[in-house]
Amino acid sequence: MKKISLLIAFVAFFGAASFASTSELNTEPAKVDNSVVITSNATTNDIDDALEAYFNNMTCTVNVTWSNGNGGTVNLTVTNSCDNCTQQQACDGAYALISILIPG
Amino acid sequence: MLHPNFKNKLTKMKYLILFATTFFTNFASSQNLLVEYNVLNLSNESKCELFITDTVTVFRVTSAATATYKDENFFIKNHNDNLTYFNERFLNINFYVKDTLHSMKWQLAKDTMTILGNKCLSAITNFRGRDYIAYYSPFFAVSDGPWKFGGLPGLILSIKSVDNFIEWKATKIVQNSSAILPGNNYKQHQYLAWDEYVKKYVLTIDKYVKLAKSNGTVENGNTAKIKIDAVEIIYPKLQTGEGIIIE
Repeated sequence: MKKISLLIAFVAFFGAASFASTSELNTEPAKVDNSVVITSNATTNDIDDALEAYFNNMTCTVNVTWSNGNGGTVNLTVTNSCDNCTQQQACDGAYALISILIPG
Repeated sequence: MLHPNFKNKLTKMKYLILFATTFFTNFASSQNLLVEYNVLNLSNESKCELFITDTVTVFRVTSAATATYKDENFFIKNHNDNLTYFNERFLNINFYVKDTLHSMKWQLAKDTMTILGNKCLSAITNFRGRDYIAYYSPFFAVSDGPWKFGGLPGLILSIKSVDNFIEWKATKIVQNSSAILPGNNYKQHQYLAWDEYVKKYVLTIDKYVKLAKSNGTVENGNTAKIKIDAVEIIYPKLQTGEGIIIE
């Protein structure tokens, strides 16, 4: 009887610990693996495809809001899209455009 | 049948009452009035106040929606020359603009609402690209309201754009307020008339777009979209739909 009680307590403890652990994990943002696996059998086309996935039609949106004298706000959105560029380059382009428009 | 002397006295009394009422009303209306408003613009909240006197009305932001707000804006309605004086900051330019006082055309409506214990009547208007519904109280003998709004037979205590973009709602009314008025310093600037300002605004944006293309800010093969959401729609190409597309 004592052994059964211990077993129940053991299961309950680790069950709860496992649940808590799962809850914590759920708060983490989902991570998407975009990496492409190139095996030894990969052709030139496969490598081109992989590069295209990295350098293809990137878009970056930057948003700035500032207060106006009427009590409202002015919301400025700049979206920059580029072919054959990285995400960073798309965002650099958007920042370059938006930085000039913000009131000095 | 009244005695002629009594009838005469009664007529005099009528005039006296009428004079007293008129005098009292005018006296009450000449008192300074301070109205505090909550402003809800999309999901941003701020606080503003309207200080009304016989000669000028001052509208100012007391608590801005964004932390970076620089208190360099001013907004003054001059009742003597029927003009509104204010500044608009954009790019690194500070535009000083004068606009016609209460230029919107109102249509009285049937809705009523009680705000801060005051029964308000409603009116609708379209002002610079948005439809608005206003609730005003005729109890206050002023024809004023928040920001550029006014011109109704009473004080606007609430005004909201029908598309829910922005709303001003009174939270407090202080009669005989002793708020400090700005001096006449605002008159030292060179003001652009509203139409001139709109032309310059459009020209500035167009030049910016051209420059961004020619100097490589938007590189060849890139596409950029620029959109501005603001209360007044003065350049629809920039402020509606997808905004301006630079290719």
